[in-house]
Amino acid sequence: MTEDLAPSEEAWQKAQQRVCLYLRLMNLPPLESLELALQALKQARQTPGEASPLSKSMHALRQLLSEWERGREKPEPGGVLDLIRIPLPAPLGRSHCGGIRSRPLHNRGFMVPEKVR
Amino acid sequence: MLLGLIAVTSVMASSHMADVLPNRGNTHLEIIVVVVFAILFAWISIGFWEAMAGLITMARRFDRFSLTLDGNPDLSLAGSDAHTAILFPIANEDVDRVFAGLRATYDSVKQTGQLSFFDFFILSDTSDPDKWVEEEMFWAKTCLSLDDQDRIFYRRRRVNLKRKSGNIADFCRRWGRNYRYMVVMDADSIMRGTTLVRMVQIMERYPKVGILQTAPLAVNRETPIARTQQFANHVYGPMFGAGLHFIQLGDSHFWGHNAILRVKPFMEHCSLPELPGKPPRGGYILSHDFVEAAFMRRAGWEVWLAHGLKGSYEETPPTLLEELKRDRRWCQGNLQHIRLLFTKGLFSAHRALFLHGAMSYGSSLLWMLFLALSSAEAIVEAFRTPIYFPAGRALFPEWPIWHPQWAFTLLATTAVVLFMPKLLSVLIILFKKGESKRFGGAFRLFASLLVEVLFSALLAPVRMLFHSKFVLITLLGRQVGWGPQQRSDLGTGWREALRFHGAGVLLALVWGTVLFVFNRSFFWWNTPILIPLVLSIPLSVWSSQASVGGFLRKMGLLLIPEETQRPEELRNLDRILSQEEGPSPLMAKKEEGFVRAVVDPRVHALHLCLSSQNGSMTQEITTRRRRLVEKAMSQGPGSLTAKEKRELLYDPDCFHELHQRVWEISDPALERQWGLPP
Repeated sequence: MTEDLAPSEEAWQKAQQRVCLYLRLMNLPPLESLELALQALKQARQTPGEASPLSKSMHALRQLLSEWERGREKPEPGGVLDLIRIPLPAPLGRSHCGGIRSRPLHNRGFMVPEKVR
Repeated sequence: MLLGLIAVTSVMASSHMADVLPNRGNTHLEIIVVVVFAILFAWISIGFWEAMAGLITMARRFDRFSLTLDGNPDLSLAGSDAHTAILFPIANEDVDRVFAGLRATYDSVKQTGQLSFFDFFILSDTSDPDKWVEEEMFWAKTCLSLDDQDRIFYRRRRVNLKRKSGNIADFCRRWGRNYRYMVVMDADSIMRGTTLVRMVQIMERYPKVGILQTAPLAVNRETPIARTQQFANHVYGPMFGAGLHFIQLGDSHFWGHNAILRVKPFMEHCSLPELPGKPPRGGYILSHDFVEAAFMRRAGWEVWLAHGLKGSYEETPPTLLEELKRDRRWCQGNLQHIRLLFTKGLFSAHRALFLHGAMSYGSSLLWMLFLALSSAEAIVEAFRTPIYFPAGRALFPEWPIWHPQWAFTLLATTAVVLFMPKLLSVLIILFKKGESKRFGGAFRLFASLLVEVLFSALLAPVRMLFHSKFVLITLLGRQVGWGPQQRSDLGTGWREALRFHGAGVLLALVWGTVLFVFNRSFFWWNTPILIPLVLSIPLSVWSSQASVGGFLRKMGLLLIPEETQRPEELRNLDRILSQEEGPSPLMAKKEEGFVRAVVDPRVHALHLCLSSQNGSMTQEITTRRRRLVEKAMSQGPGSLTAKEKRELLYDPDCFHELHQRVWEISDPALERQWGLPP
């Protein structure tokens, strides 16, 4: 078993660094960040298939982050600050954006150019 | 009265000019020379008489038509419904500087306690994908650092229809009905909070005012050319501003920024039409501000210049080449206005402003023509045999006599018209107690005046040559791009200067040689034009160097009050700009917005949140975008063009897929390209 894993140990190390970097960029609290990284790497190790350790780890991390995101409190709609302040989950789809908006609601008016005579 | 004064001075100077010419203005060539001279003299005397009007206004220290509420300590908008939007229309600008300006203005408004009446909008027409992402990041960062939401908004247009005027119109159509007023800023504008509140108060007090334009003060530049402009703007500006106000009253200018506009009439009357024909003469109106002011006035709303309001700032181009690039755009826009001269219903004052704008550049071509014709006259005279005994009876032979003292008188008169307003402006400052100290003291103020005059005289022929070229190019139907302005103090390189000024140097050398060979005395008269043209390359490089400007500043020359006593809002701007972003574990630079949006999960998430949902797309578009993802993955971000990057940024699904796949890259070369550490 050890002999089988030995050649890819370097790849697993790289996967660990990548997962940690991703979590660091997300600015997650240190403990949660470490826990997520550990879980992601464990899951990746157990994942069968021919994918690289890097792919497996990042895939596992995305799944974990989705679950983590579901578990945390949603920001109030319209609360752009809350959304930016709270660490953002990685696999953000638009459904995760809460009420973030960079512009007010439209209040349509008209501007019709007159002909120049 | 103004027209009368201009006409009288121009006729007198022209008749004197005719006397100076060898044939007393009796040949065809000389008649043309005199006519062109008359137009040019009329042009410079407009400025002179404007300044005189300003001098009278300032000397009286009372202006019953002034709208500004000087001395009124009340800075409350309570009880009014004066909701005001402060707009920053931008396109590929220095993002750091734009948001720092917004932040400085925001902080200043907050200090007045009237922040609840103001909203801030960044209206982006940016096409550069890196800057687009940077703008989103700065918007979020600004909201976060101010701990304020739903007051600072960011909107990016996908299609930049009608450029800046279209950008503002787009705001009006979407949100204009939410606001009574809008303050239009430039990318480098800053305004003091109290000034903004005063402007709103004035608009509330005078309900017939449609546009209130401030006279922005040029600040923050270090290069010699920009420092010269700043000095001129601070020293001569108040007198010219007061003069303009005296002459124009409610038919004033709108310069497109640092002004407050009443939104409802603007929406009803100031939408700009497309001119028939192809650009540059037809198509979209480029210099929209003058036309919007004319349309506002046509609809019965007044346009005023609040020349007495302080705390309104802008920045000037840092180099001669940047200034000339801007001038080329303005030249095209102003010449387009000639087509609107006879538009039905416009006030004559605004027709005059259109003409004035066109003449700002047309006068250079006329000056060039005047020099060419007078040189031709001088060469012809060199070859002509004098006729001592003309046909007809004459008691004495006619000696060709030239009176140099007449020429000197004419030169002195022109110099008075050009330089007297400058000298008077300095005297006004000297007479105000303590005012000269703000310019470094009386001695340094005078020395700076001399430096400014020398500098303007050296650059005038170079500007003339370029402006003439711009007018000709526009009249020949070639149009210009509308790129962003360089707003930092980066200098001009020798190679770039050679490329831009080489032809001018060659022209001056040929012209000078011909005059030197055929009419040496006339050659010496033309040296003030020829020498600056020959030296234009080093002049352009030297005038763009911040180190030279810094030296002048150290010597106490070309100082402005904002440098001797920095206002709070500008100090705040300096502080914001000096703040550095913390180090990122990613190797991608701050300017690599696209890469950061792909790689950095927070930037990526922010971009996705601000993107619009993918609509239904044709198979062709879907396939094309999928290919772009593959290209980015196999060849790295450097292989993508700006257009391809934009296309990916527009597609949240493809963009998110790219984000996921980039984090799984293990190839070291690709890792580097995406800014991932090895």
